[in-house]
Amino acid sequence: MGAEPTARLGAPRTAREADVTHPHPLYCVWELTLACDLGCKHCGSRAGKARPEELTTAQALEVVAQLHEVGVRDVVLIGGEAYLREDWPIIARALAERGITVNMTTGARNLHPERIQQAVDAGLSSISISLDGLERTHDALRGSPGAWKAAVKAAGDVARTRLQLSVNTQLNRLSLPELPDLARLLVELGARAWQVQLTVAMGRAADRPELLLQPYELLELFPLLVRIQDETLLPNEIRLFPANNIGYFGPYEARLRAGGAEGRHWSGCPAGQWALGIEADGTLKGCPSLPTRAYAGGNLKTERLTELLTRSPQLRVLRERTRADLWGFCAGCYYADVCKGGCSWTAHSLLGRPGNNPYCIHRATQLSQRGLRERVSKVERAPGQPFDHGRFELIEEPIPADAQSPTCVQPLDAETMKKVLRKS
Amino acid sequence: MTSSTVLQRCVGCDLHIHGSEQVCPFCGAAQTASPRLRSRSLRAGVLAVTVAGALGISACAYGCPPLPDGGTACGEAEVDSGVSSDLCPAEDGGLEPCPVDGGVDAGNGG
Repeated sequence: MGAEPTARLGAPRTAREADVTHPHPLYCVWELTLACDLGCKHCGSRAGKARPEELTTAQALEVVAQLHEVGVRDVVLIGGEAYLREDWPIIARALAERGITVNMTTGARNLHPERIQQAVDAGLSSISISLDGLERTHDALRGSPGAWKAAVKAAGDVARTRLQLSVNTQLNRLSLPELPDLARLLVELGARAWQVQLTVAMGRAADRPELLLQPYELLELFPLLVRIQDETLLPNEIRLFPANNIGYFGPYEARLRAGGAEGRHWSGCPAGQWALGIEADGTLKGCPSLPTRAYAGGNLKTERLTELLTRSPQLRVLRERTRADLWGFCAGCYYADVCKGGCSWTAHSLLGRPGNNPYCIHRATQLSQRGLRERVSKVERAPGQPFDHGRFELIEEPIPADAQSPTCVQPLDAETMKKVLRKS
Repeated sequence: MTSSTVLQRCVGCDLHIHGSEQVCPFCGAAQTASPRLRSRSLRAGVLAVTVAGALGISACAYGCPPLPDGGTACGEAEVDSGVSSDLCPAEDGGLEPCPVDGGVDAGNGG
């Protein structure tokens, strides 16, 4: 089991007084390569092959220096699969030597003990392994037989080092029923933290809308998460971290947000303000998940990070959002001034622009009190590029008289499921 | 910061409410002069100034979904659909995870 105390989880990302006085990015999620040894059915970046012009080692080390220069304190290495870049330990060590907390998020299909030792030697703090359910669900979603066994093996190996083991899980129609069992597996593996995020209609997930939960199904998801937290996670000192696209307020906010840290609440999309995302070719975004076409704010091969932070409109538009930029339900919401429409990535991927996010427990609850619910329906397909999206229609409708209470998540029938997973 | 960006938790229902609220808009509880737990929101991250210990969640007029310890209508058994067994047909007549699309062959690069 990892020896690091759970108390430091998230600490580098917490804004201090000095950060507020002089705001700067606190953390960065860095796609080292788009090459991947999995073919996940929900992959937003459609990872598989490396990008044509990925950063060289020298360019990557220059990015390290610039991240340090602007005050980034926490970097998460992702892919594709970050460890498929042979120089990843060099990049990781360069970050760690500058005092930056370095983590890796991985599907772990080939995270062998040798690579885990490389992570230890390079100074990583934690490794987060993706587990999207139990074996058959995980392997189906990850597009690779044996992926689950490999990930579980690697998780156990990580937990036996000084690295902190975290697990991350996609929440969708396949994984949701398995969350309680998955939580129990985390206990066995020695995980210290669990991040869960809604599968968003981006990339390959946009090709498979059947996988997505509907907004009204958050009314089931939140109580389930709290139950798992209380029954399984807290007694075993595992902290649950709902991602930024699991929103917002309502009766569970204080218990779930930021791992249940006392006094925390959602306070708006951090993209472009506290967070950055870098694609493997040096493209800079305010958040790694944002659609590239709309939010690419420059390229670190040719432009300096300090300059891009100041003048890039693609970054500025995110951090300067106000209530006036919101629309739909969010524009009139009680929490609008704080929430600012929740996750930009989720809203933009669905509806083509941020500022109106139906995946919100407060919103779903308010609507249900009026006998209403919202669902999304795909009306335009995604073109097939990394970090692309289609377009969805948002439908507000009366809660059907025969709907189960509150709104049980409905499984897919077998034929539909086969079609969904076979799509190319 | 404005009164609508500083949030506190209602002394009655524990929901987040604007710091300026004298009465909770959700449950109607009058807010005391010393809120049990107040937090100050920053533009994005948060800087929390807290007092008192963890608070329980109580039922309220907000219309909360059933709480975990109160039971939910959607029990685990009801949503355990078995969909994970619906994979693609395998050559041996059984089921297996469906083929990779857009990914790379097993072991490539790893």
